[in-house]
Amino acid sequence: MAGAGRGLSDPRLWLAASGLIALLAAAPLAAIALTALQGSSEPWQHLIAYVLPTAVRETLLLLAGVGLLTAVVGTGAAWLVTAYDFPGRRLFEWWLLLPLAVPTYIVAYAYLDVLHPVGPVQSLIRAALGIESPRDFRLPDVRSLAGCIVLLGFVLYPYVYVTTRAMFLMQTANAVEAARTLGVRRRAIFLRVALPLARPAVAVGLSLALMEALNDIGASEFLGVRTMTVSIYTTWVTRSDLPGAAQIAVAMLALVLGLVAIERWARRKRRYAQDAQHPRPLTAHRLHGVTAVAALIAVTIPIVLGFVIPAAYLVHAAATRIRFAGLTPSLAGEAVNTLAISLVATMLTVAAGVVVVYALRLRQTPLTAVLARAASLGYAVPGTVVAIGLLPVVTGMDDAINAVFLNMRASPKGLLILGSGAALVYAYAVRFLTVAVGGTEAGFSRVSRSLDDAASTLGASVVRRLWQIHLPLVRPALAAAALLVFVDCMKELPATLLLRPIGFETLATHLYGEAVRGTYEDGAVAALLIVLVGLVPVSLLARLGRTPEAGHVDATTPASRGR
Amino acid sequence: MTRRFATRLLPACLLAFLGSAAVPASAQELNLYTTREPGLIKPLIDAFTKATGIKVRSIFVSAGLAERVTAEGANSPADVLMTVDLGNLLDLVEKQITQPVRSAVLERAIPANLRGPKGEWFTLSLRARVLYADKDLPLSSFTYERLADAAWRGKVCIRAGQHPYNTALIAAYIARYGEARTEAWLRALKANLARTAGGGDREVARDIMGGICDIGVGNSYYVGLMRSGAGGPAQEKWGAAIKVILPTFEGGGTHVNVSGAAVARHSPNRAAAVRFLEYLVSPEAQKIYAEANFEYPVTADAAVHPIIAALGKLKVDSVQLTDIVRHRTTASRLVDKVGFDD
Amino acid sequence: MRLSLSASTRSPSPKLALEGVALHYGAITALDAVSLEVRDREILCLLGPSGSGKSTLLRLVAGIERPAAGRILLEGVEVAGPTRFVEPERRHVGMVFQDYALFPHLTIAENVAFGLRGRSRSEIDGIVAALLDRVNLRRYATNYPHMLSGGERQRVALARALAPRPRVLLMDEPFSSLDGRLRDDIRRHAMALLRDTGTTTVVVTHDPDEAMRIADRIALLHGGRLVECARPDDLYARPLTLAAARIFSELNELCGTCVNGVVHTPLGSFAAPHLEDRTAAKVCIRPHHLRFASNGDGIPAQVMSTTFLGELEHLSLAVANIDMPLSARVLGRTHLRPRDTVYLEVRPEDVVIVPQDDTIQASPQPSIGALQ
Repeated sequence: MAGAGRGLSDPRLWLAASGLIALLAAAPLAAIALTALQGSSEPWQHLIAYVLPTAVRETLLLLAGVGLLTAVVGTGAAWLVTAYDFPGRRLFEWWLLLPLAVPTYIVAYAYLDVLHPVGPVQSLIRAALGIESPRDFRLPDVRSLAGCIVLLGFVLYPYVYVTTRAMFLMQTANAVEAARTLGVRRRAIFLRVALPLARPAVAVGLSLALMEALNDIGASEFLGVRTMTVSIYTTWVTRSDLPGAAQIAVAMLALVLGLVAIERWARRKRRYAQDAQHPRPLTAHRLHGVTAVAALIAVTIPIVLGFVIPAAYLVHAAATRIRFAGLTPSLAGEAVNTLAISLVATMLTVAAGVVVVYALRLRQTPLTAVLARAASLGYAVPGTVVAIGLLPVVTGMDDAINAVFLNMRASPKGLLILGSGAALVYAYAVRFLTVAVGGTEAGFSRVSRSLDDAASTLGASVVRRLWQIHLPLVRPALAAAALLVFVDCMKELPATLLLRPIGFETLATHLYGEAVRGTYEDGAVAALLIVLVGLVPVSLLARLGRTPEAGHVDATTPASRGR
Repeated sequence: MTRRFATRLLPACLLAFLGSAAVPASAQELNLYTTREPGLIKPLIDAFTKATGIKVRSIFVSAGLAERVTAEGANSPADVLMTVDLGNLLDLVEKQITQPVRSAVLERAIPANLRGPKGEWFTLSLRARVLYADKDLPLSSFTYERLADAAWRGKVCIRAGQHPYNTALIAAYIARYGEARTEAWLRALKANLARTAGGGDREVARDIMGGICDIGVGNSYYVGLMRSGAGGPAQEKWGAAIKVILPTFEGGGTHVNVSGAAVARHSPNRAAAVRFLEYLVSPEAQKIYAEANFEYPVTADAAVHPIIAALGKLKVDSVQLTDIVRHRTTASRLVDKVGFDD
Repeated sequence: MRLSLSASTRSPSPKLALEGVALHYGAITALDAVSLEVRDREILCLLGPSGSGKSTLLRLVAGIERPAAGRILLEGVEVAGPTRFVEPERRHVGMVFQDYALFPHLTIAENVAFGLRGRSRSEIDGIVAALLDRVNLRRYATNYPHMLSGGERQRVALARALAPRPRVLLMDEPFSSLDGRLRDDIRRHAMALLRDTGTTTVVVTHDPDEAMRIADRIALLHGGRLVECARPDDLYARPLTLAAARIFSELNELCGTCVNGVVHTPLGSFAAPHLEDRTAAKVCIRPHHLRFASNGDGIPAQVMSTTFLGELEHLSLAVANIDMPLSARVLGRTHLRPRDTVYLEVRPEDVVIVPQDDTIQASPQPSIGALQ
C-alpha cells in the first residue's frame, strides 16, 4: 500500500473521490426529490389538510420527549460514572451501552407483550391484588405517544451517553477544579459547569438519537404513533402515492436539516474546545452508604429498562419457541449473511468516511466542506426512503454495466448490483456514512496539523501520511465509528427488505417475516441473535472508551499554535 | 492487524458477494416476488417443487414490490408476483409489470370475477373480514354497519385504518353507500375505538382477552392460526377467548379479500411461472391453502378447514371485488380525513 | 559515518531564493512581496514580532502553504511560482516545528528514520544510530516521545529533520518551549551540529537575543514585509530602519529634520549623509550609550529617578527641550539621587539615525527591563 502510485498522492484525486462519494450518497435523495416533483398538488392539499398536521405534531412531540429523556438519562448516567465512584462503577460504565444492541422495534414488541393486560407484569399484579379479570383492573396502555417516548428514550440514550462521557473524561477536570475553588458545591457542578461544557457533545449524541427516533418505523407502528415516517409509509403503500410520500419525505428532510446544522455546529465548537486545553481525566469522588446505593439505583434503571427486560423477554420467548417448534435451520445462514453484509458495509462505509474527511483535511475549502455535509445526509432520511430512492439509481447503474458488456459483445450480466447485495451495501453506506464521517472527523481533529506538515516535509506522500500517521493515530475513533456503523447495519430493516437480493435473508428480515406472519414470539430467536451479535461490538466499544489512547496523542503533541 | 484485515478480507468478501449473485435462473428455477410472508406459503412451494422438480426462490417484499420490479425492468428475474390484497395485485397490472396468461386450467378453476379478463391476475385464495368478540357476549350475528353503533363506544379494537385489509373494507362500504355515508360511519367507528388503531389482527383477540375491548375486526384465517395452536400456546388462549362471527352488510354478504398472483411481464421462466399458478389452484394445493393457512379455497370443490367451517357458512357480498378496489384511494383518504389512526 | 549533510561544492545560485513572495488570508496580507536569498551553509534568522509573517514565510518555503504571488527557488530550481508548485514531500526541505510534531505512535528511532526511504535497512539503521549518537539520545532509541523531556524531544525533532539530508533546514521557534539554562545548552549543541554538518538553515525566532547568538544574517520582518536583512553586528550598529533599531533594545528617540546632511537635536548635531535633505529623521540612542561627562561640559540633565538593578543602574533623566525623559543605563552604582544634575555626552558613532517611519507606531514609554 505504501508503494502506491503517484496518482493517489495527488490531493485532487482525493477531492474527486470525495466528490464521487458525496454524489453517490446524495443520488438517492435526488431521486426522491425528483419523484416529489412529479406529484400533482392535489394529494399535497390532502396531506396538508389531514396528514401533515398530525404527523408533524406527533413527530415533534416524539422528538421533544425522546430528546428530553435521552438527554437526561444519557448525561446523568455519564456524569454519575465519571464524577463519582461507587461499587460496580467500572461495570456500569459499559453496561450502560447495552441498549445499543437492541433494535427499537424489538424493544417495542417486547414491552407490548410484557406489559399487556394478559402479559406477565399485569397478571402478577392482579394475582397479588386478588383480581380475577383484566376487565376489573388494567394499567394504562403502552400503545401511546407517551409509551413510545419512554421506550425509545431508554433504548436510545446510549448515543448521548457515549458522546457526553467522552467529553466529561477529556474536558472537565480543570474546569471542575477551578469551579470548586470558586465555591461551587460538588452537587451543583454538574448543572453549572460540566453540562454547559459538554453541551456540544450532548448535542451531537442527541441528534444521533433523535435521527434514530425520527426514522424509526417499527416501534412507532407497533405503538400506534403516527410520525412523519409512518405517514410516508402509508401514503406510499396504501395509496400507492409514491410522489405524495416523496413530498412528505422532502418536508421531513427539511426538518432534519435543522438538526444536522445543530450537530455540525456542535462539532465545530467541540474541536475548538479540544484545541484549547490539555485533557486531564477527572478524579472520581468516592460515594458511601446511602448515596452510593442511590447512584447504583440511578444507573441500574436505564439498563434494566433498555436492556435487561427486553433481553430477558427475548430469552424466555426464544426458549418457548425452540421448545414449541425447534430451531429454524435457515437461521445459521441468515446469521452469517447478517454478519458478512454488515462487515462489508461497515468497512466500505468507514473507508468512504475516511476518504471524505481526509480530502477535507488535505484541502480545507468550502467545496470539501459541502461534500462532507452532502455525504452525511442519508442519516436524516428513513431507510425506506433511501431504499426507494436508491432503486432507480442502482438499476440505472446495472443498465449502464449491461450496455458496456453488450458493447464488448459479452453477454450482459443482468442485475449485477441489485442482484448481488451490492445495492444493500450501498444503501447501508448512504444511511450510515454520517456516523463514519463524524467519528473520523472527531478523531482527525485531535491530530495536530503539525504532524501532517512534519511528515510531508520528511517526504511522506499523501497516501503514506494517511497510512502511517493518521490511521494509526485515529484508530480508536475509527474503530468506535466502525462499531456503531456495524450495529446500525445489523439492525437495519426497511432498506434491507426492499434491496436484498432474491434468496438472501438476514436476521432482521427473518424476524420481520415471522412478525408479519403474526407471532412475535416466533421471531424471538432471530431477535435474540441480533441482540447477541450486537453485544460484541458494543462491548468492544466499551473497551475502547476505557483506554484513553486519544488523550495520549494530545498530551504529546500540543496543538500547533501561531498559524 | 486492521490493515491486513482491510486489505485482504474486504476484497474477498466483496468477491464472495458478487460471485454469489446474479446467477441467471436456470430452466428448472422459478423466482417468486411476494408481499405474502413466504413462511405462509412454504408448504405450497415445497409441494410444488416435489411435484415438478422446479426450485422456487422467493423474496418477501412487504412494501415496494411494484417499485422494485419496475426499477429492475427487462432485467428483472421475477417470474411470479404474489400479493395478499387485490388492490395491490391490480396495482401491478396498472403499472404494467404483469403479462396476460391464457390457461385453460386456471380459467376452469377460478371463477371469472376472481381473475383478470385477459389473465393478467388470478385469485388463489380468499379470506373474510370477520368480527372477533368477547366469548361471553350475547352475540350471534353482526353487521359491519353496527360497528358504528354508539352502544360500542370505547369497546372496539382494530388495526390501523391505513392497513390494506381495512382500506379494502372501507372501500367496500363506499361501493355500497357512497363516500359521505362512509365518512360518517368511519367517524362513529373511530369514536368507538378502545385504543389507537394499530398492531395486527391477532392483537385484537389478545386485547379482547386482556379486557381492553369487547369486539374487534380481523381476518378469518387468523382464527385458525390461533385456535389450531399453530402460533404457539399463548395464541391458543387468545383464540379461545373470543367468539367469531361472520358479519355481513345489511342486506348483503361478508366482505372478502383475496390473495392472488400474476406472471411478471419480463418473466425469464414463463412456462414454469404458469405451471406454478396452475399448481396453486390444483385440488392438492387448494387443500393446503385451506388446511395449512386456514383460507377459503378459490376453487368451488375444495373444502375449508374444520375450524373455519365452524365459523358458519360464508356468504360473499355481492359487490364485485374489482369495483371495491376502485374506491381504495378514497378509502385511504377518508382514513386520514377522520383521523382514524391518530 | 560522516555527517556532512550538504554539498561540498558551492553552487553558483543561492541555496534558497524568494522573489516577491506574497500571501493573503482573505483580506489580511500575511506576506507582502518578500524577496530574500539564503546562501549555502548559511544560518539565517527570520526575526520579527508575532504576526510579522515569519512563520508563514517558513511554511511557504516548506511547501505547506502556496504563495499568492512571487517565486520560490531551491538551488536555482523553482518550487513555487505562478505555474509550478512542488508538494512539500518532493522539496527535500527539513523542518523542525515549534511543538516538535513528533509522531506519538512511533519510537524515537522510528521517528528519526521516518524520512529515510529507498535505502537498505542497515543503511537506515546506521544513519539513525549516528544521528542519535550525535544528539546523545541513542539510549532512548526504542522509547516513545511522551517518555522524553522537552529538551530531548527537541533534539529528536532536529535529528529527524536532518536525517534525510535536507537541502535547507527550516526551524520554527525551535527553542521557544524550553526555558532558561536548558534552552542555552540545547541551542548551543544544536547550532554546533548545524555548523558541523554545514546545513543551510533558516530559523524563525521572535527573540532578538537568540537571533544575535545564532545567525549569520538576520532578516527582519515587520507587518508581512522584509524590513532589513543584514549581519547581526551591522543590524545592531547600523540599522537602516526604525523597526530594526528598536528590536534589540529600548531606545531614546529624538525627532529631527535632516538639513544639509545633519540632524540637529538637543543632545547635539549628528551627521546623516545617508538621508535625503529635508526628510524627517529619528535620532536613536541606546540607553547605555548615554554617557556621563566627567569634566562638566556636555548637556545638562536632571535625574528624575534611579533604579538599581544589580549589575546595572537605570536612570530616568530630564533634558531641556526634550518632552520625554531619557533612559540611561550605567554599569555599577552611581549613587546619584533625584534632582541631581549630570552632564550627558553622546559619541557620534553610537548614534543611529533613521528616517521617520509613519507606519510604525509611536515609541512606547521607555520602561525598566525592556532589554531582553
